Amino acid sequence: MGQKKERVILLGNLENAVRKVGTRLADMRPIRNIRNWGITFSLWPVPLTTACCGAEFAATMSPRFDMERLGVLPMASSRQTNVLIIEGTLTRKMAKAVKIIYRQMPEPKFVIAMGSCAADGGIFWNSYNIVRPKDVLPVDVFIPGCPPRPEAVIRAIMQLQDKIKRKLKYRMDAKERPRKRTRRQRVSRVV
Amino acid sequence: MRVKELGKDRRAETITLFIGPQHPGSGHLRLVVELDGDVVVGIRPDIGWVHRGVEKIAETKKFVQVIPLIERPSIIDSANMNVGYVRAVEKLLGVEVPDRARYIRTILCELNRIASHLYGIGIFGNMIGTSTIFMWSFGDREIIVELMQELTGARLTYSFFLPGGVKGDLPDGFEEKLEKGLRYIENRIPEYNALFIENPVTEDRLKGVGVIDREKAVEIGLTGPNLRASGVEYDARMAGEYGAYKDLGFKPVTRPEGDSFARLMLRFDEIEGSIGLIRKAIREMPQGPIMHERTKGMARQVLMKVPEGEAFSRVECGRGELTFFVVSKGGDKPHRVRMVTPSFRNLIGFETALVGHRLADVPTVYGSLDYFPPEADR
Amino acid sequence: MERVLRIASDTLKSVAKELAAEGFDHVKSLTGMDRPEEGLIELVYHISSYLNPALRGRIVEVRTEVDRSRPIINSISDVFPSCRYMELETRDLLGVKFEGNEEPDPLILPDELKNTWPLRKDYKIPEEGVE
Repeated sequence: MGQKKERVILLGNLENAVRKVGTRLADMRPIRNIRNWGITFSLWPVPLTTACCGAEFAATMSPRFDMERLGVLPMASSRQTNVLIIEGTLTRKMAKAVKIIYRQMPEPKFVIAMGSCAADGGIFWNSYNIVRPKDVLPVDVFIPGCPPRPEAVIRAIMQLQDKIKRKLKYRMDAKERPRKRTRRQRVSRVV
Repeated sequence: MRVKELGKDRRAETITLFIGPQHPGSGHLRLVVELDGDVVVGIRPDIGWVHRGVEKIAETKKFVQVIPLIERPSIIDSANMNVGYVRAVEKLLGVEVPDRARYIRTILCELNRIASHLYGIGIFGNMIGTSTIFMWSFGDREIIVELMQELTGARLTYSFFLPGGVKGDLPDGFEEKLEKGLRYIENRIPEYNALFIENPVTEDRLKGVGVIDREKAVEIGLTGPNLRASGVEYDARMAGEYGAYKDLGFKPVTRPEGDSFARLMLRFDEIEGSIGLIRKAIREMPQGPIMHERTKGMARQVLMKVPEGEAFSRVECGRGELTFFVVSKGGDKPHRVRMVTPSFRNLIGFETALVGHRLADVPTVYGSLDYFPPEADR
Repeated sequence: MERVLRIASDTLKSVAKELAAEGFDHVKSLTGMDRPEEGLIELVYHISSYLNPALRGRIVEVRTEVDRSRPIINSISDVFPSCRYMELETRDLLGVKFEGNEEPDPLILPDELKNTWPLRKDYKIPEEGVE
């Protein structure tokens, strides 16, 4: 999203107008910084092991590397998470499930692609059954390695934290926007 | 409770529940469970979430390039996967492995078995809700991983065995570090006993759950610790076709019960057995070359042409017996590589072990079978 | 391999029953091999025993062939339930139909790759190197 100033026209019902103002306020300097600082230290990934890199991801969770000291705590349900870590190869069958899980996660959400396979196929580049995660999801950070060492996973998480602190703005998926608006309109009409 | 037992005037109905592929276990398996109330009346595993076509890709790579490829399906047990393939290629080439290389292979394979069992125990602990065990066993596993890294240079994917021998000798001072690490693991096992195994909660959740009796286990062709926990004395290491198991006098451990608790305990027994084997291998290790003359050197490995023929090899992985069937047409690439992995053979165990149990027992049985999905899907 | 049996595809079931009566109790591996130049698909069963101490550790290799254009064979999963999933996998990857062991959905392939049979030799995937 560019830094261009856009003019906001407050028309229509009150609820919509308040939401717009709220969104703009939350994107302004002091509130935005505090919010991003909060998100930085509560990155909760989905336990979605897509392939063998999950072994190293589990090692990163374990006491020796201890991801929790960075605020990363795997949660059981995708509704409670904000990071999707693609742990290794993404097959065609799994890609469909990953898309569903990504849609279930609340905003703001981030994607880390772990391993060579998740970057560009790796050792399985000529397989008939894999997809590149970058074709399916908006990936924020790639981790090279086959499998990446736990240190590399921690570095990727720190990079993501850096990215969030610097430039995260409120992001609304273009696809979801019309659906949300119609629902809100319907609700306000009932009220 | 079954629907009929509610006492209401209702016809018993079943519902179908899809568990996975995203769940807090070792993901990528979907269990399609048929439920009557909360009693499992039917179950069908839905696999293929990690099917990457290893067998097809192997046909496009040179013989030595296939080694890292076949390790990927079971990355936490890669030395044992590696040795299976390498044995098949050695049979085709007709080379015998030098004695010292056989002993080094045994040491790395057994270390990897300990790491693989600790991984399985950790995931099992996570599945039944004791995340302390997950933390403990993954923390202890790091000791073994660190030892294997000292020996091979990699944390998980070693590619340390090549046709004809091993890549390197034991590094200086490795024996002392190894002994220290093994003593640590050995001293930890009583602590696991005190916290986890002799815990009434664990016993209640695991004993008598997911029983597979001896005849049934043989009939459905279970393998590995799951088979031995049902009282069948079979282990691919007994045949002595690879490694130094024949010289070391290997004997498998069995347990008669066949339930989830026996399967868990058998993994602890095997860790102890592996520690004993490694110690004996270090003591009795002969001196000598570590690579056969015919396959020595990078150029010979890379340009290797394997004579026409077929070879079948079997090895015991952490999760069971792995078989390789390699066909060569005389070129530098294999014509066909067939691998049947232990998890794929154990898959059928879900159907046998779970029917008649409650929904809450599904993770227990899943964890106790130590199923590793990438290994089954390849 | 100590014992190799080469049999016609229609006798597979009776051979399996004989082996089961002899004391062999499980299938270790089922390999399908495509041989397009001869128009055949070769199936190799490795059968062994867990319980019988005399046979334990010994493997019998049963080889049979089916026509590549009409690959249909009897399933032996009722004699050896251990090869049920292997048969389904071979069906997915090579297109061999095992009569008596049929499921509508693919076991290991995604739905969009149904009936593509990747392990057949005419299914090409890219290879390394410059053209």
